[in-house]
Amino acid sequence: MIVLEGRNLTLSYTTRPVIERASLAVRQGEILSLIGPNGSGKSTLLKALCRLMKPESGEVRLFGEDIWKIPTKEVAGKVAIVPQVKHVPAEVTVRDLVGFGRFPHMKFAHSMSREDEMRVEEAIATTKLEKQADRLVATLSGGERQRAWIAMALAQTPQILILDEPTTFLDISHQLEIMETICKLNRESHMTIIMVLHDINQAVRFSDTICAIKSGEIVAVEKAKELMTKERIQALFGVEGAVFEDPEHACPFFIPHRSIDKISKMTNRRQL
Amino acid sequence: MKHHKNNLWILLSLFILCIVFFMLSIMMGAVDITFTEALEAFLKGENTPHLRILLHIRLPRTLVAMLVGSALALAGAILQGVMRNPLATPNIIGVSSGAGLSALTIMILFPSFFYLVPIGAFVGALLTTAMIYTLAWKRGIVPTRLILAGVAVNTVLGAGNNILLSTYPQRVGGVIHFLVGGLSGVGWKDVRMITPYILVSLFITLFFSQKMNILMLGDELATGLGLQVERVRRTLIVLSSLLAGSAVSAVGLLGFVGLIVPHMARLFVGNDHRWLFPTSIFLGSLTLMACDLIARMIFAPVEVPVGVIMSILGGPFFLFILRRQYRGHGHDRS
Repeated sequence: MIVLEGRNLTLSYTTRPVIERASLAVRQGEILSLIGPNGSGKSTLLKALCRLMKPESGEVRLFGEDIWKIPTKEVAGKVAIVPQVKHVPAEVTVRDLVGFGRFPHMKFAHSMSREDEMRVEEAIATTKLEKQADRLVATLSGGERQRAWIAMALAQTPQILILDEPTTFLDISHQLEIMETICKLNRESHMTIIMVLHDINQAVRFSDTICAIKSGEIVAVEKAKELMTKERIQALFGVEGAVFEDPEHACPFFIPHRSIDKISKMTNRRQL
Repeated sequence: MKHHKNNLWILLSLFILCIVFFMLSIMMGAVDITFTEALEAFLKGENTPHLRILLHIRLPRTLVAMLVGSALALAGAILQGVMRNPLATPNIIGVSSGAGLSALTIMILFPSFFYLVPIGAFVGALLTTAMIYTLAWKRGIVPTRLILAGVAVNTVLGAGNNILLSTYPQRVGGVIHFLVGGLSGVGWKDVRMITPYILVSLFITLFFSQKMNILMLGDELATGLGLQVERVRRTLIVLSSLLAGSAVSAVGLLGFVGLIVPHMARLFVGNDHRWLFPTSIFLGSLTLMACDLIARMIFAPVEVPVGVIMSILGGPFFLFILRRQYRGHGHDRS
């Protein structure tokens, strides 16, 4: 079943479109990662899919309905977002922050019911933040903070979780921790996950489907492991390298050797 | 946000202090009226001079001080949040320059319509806010763009004010009172004019306090949580313009309350708007009543404009707050 779908999306910030006539369908229960070089438009596409950005043309359908015609609070009950840029409010504890995740489910008075409090504790437990629950978000480390944002999204009890570069700026163990948490949510709660990732090895290992984007166009939507050949990585990122297989997870991984785009450009310039 | 019980005590103490200063404000002044005298005058209903002073001068004046103080403070608290900028005041959305230009135009060019000054100032404030908002609109409102549009519009309107003031220097004398901001001469007509706008806006704003907290997380997260970001922001800006516009129409350009009181309130109750909004309301009332009392008493029987007292006391206090390592809103890209 298709839960979220973009049809013929053209997206732009100014007059020049960043994404042109792109279509993408996300199936229930899958982990789909968007990859591509900087400036390819993957974050923009992600924003359009969760109504953070209104498309110039085309439409986004959430469970078959036009996402822009569903009340935003209703969307928030089904889709949770962890964006790239977040403001950390002063003097907010982790528990308060996760509590904000209940906002879409609250009535007029905005007071927490017992169910709300239960969901908050659940989300804190899932992200293993019990010890930090009463600390100020501003005092947490990068990894803990990212987990707090994910906990807030989980308190929304969404069916679809959308993350924009959830592992960027984290060290390798915290990156892994975040990815494992996300994977667990997908396996145990059958949550559909859509995210932008920069690390192709991470994307291939943890996703079911990969959507590769280059200069505003979707160039491939495929099973993660099939996409991983050195020719295709080279075409997508302009990086020469080799693909090996990690026997532990039976998963291909890519080792970069050199970036060819820039080198050829430099030699071109010298010739000119 | 965990000190709910503490905050409740702070709010209660502020409320009691408001009552105390309300009593002081109607009893003290050029003529001191003791509590028993006041009570007697009220109960007997005799037309004594004291009762006349109480009813026609001190009571409306104190009520205006309360209303204006709370309105300006709340308007400041709203805008500091909406703009995510600790320096935001109602001036940013053009309230002062708009109210100033229309009031000066009436006072200098059409002095026979002097009675229209309050309503003119009010309309001028709201129109200027609308203009700044429209100019800043481009697929939605970004706080920075709103601030910049505000600076631009304020500059142009300020030039208009200066043209008026320099073209008619002989009429400036009558205008000073409005420019400095003061409570002398306010009466029941002012109370009647501003009460409905201020009370309704205060009440509606309190319902937006949790939405304000969500808005502080940034536009994308707030949208993700199901907040209609653009609509909430517009409503809050209109509310603050109504609040500050009403205040300015009654007392002139009394800007500083809107900047400093929300910061005092933050020191007491922190940044949770469910506490910050009500605290700003009480603290604003209290501050303006206290400053007005000082303004009346310090060189009695001569009165100092309350705006002057606010600035002299407020400036150093603001520095004190800054020194206390004021923690603003962080930014996260992790």
